[in-house]
Amino acid sequence: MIEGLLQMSALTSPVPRTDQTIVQWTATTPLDNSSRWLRKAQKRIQELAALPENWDSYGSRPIQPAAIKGAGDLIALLSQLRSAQPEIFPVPGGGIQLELHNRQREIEIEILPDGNIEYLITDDDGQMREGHVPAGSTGEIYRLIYWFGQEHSKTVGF
Amino acid sequence: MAHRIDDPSISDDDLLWRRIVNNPIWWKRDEQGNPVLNTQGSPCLSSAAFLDGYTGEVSVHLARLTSQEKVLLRKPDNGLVEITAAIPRSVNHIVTLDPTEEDESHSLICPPESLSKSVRKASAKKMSEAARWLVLPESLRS
Repeated sequence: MIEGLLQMSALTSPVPRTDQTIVQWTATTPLDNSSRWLRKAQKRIQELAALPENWDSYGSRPIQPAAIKGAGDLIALLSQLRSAQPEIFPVPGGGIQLELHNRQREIEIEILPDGNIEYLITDDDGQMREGHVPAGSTGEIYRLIYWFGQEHSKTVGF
Repeated sequence: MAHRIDDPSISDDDLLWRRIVNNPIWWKRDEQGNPVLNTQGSPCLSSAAFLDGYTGEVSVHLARLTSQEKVLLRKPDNGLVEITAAIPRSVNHIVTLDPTEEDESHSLICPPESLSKSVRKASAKKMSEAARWLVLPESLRS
């Protein structure tokens, strides 16, 4: 299944919308569940941004500005895509990790201290695959979230 | 990153300890803020606890050269998890002693230079899933 969606690399535009309850596709915050978690997520990132030097007790740098900006941009994008609520964790060295889990699949998206993104997906069969996304590139993120939202898709899967 | 070599004096059965700060930033929580438990009934750790986005090297303590009390001496509210050295080695990581003036047990789990950076996340996930709690952080102690 992982191999399948990797071959579908042409999908770089917003995912098709089948739910008609949301009629807006703009930078404004849609009034659905995702907007409710968005505020919590933004607060969480602010908390992580305030972590001091040595916050991990092993001498980590504070979370770096590029990671804070990247995480903020990413949660806004996830909200626009009406994603499930991500869990947000600091990464030693100055990065931030977002995690999405459902019954079948998991995605870990790590915003590195320099703003670049690395991800790990775990599919229905427990297979894992990693990838890299340059800072500011959203096409791969669309694909990840689209894949995550599919249930046992045989035609579209990573 | 310094050139690291796997330390043959550390056996696969040696235990490696890692402190977990007493702040709900590394264990998974549900929407109510309660810790998500694994199949053993222990809080689930994020793989972020076994990552480093800057150096790639993760600090641990070689258990046979220290004690829980020493590792938690200045951080009594922290938690402690352990994995065997075999776990990082099973995902092609290096385990090496890196003693400091304060801590002769300080060791490092390092991705080897030959290992693609793009496989470090799966390795961290495997290590975090294999980690066993020895001491819960203060806020999780009942």
